[in-house]
Amino acid sequence: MEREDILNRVDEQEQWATRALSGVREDDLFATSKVTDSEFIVALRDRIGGRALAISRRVFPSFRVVSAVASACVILLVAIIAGPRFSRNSQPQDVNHLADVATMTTETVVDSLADANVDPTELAAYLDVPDYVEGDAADSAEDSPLTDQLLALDTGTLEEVLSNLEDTEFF
Amino acid sequence: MSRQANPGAGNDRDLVREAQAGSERAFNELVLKYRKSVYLTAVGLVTDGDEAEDIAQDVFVKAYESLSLFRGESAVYTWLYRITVNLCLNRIRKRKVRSFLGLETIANTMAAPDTDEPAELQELNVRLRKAITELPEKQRIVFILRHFRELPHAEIAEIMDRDVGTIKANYFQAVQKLRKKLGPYVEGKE
Repeated sequence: MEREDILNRVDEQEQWATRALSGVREDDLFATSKVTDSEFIVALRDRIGGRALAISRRVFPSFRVVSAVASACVILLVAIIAGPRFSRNSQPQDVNHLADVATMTTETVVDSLADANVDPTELAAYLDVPDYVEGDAADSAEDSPLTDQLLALDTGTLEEVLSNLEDTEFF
Repeated sequence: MSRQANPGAGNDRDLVREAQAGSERAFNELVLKYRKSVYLTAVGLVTDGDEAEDIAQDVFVKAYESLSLFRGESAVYTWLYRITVNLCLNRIRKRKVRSFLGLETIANTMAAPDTDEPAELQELNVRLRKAITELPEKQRIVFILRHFRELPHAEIAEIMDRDVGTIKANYFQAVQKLRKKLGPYVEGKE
């Protein structure tokens, strides 16, 4: 059917519907709402209030959260500003005492090291160096690896690496 | 036919203005004025009383949230019905998806209301309800808004964001289908 024909016949269809369905009540056709007006309003208010609260919570954090964050910031700021001052201005008595003790310990150790009677093995153990053998000192220069030796390639090893490379299949 | 068309639109804009200014009383008055027609529109579209109740609530929640956006270019009831139709379409589409996924079976879940109508009229009501339910979505919307809400085609076109010609064509096809199904039951009235 042509669109124009349809549009022309709309009025006719409308008249049929009005006549044919004149006795039909919408309330009887579709079930009416079981909820009273006051119940509807109360439920609606609850929903609107709940949504407003949810939105405000997303946008505005609670006072508790704000105060917790602010407190943490203040503490951090104080720590940053006052930290160095605190370490400098700490109880002088305690620091001096610690310094004295440290000095005494150091002096004792150094003095003991300077003692001619100290056994080299004891010294070596204290300094955590490899075992000291008399006579090693004279040979040490020859035994210590030279740079050239360190950099020299082990020819055998190189050839082995090259042959492995040749055998390797790359994809 | 007793139809819940549209309550007097006279002071609707005043009510909206007051509600926009924060008057809870004005918004409540608007709700109570249009609650029934919104519900009946919804129940005709989704064919389920409980869902229609939810949708009616959703309509007014949405209306409340977008009060500040209402500029008064259209009638208040046009605005409310547009929200109603959109929410109903969303609900219908969700239902179809769930049905497709096997999560829900689509059925005419609307129970026949108890009436004291004569048997013949009750029979017509049952058949009419079934026939309306079986209409394609757009034709069903247009028929309900035109026949029960008594909205002019131009306002229906505004609600559905279509041109008037398309709305008229939808209405024509809807009535043609109803006529075909109900013909024998309304003989004598034609």
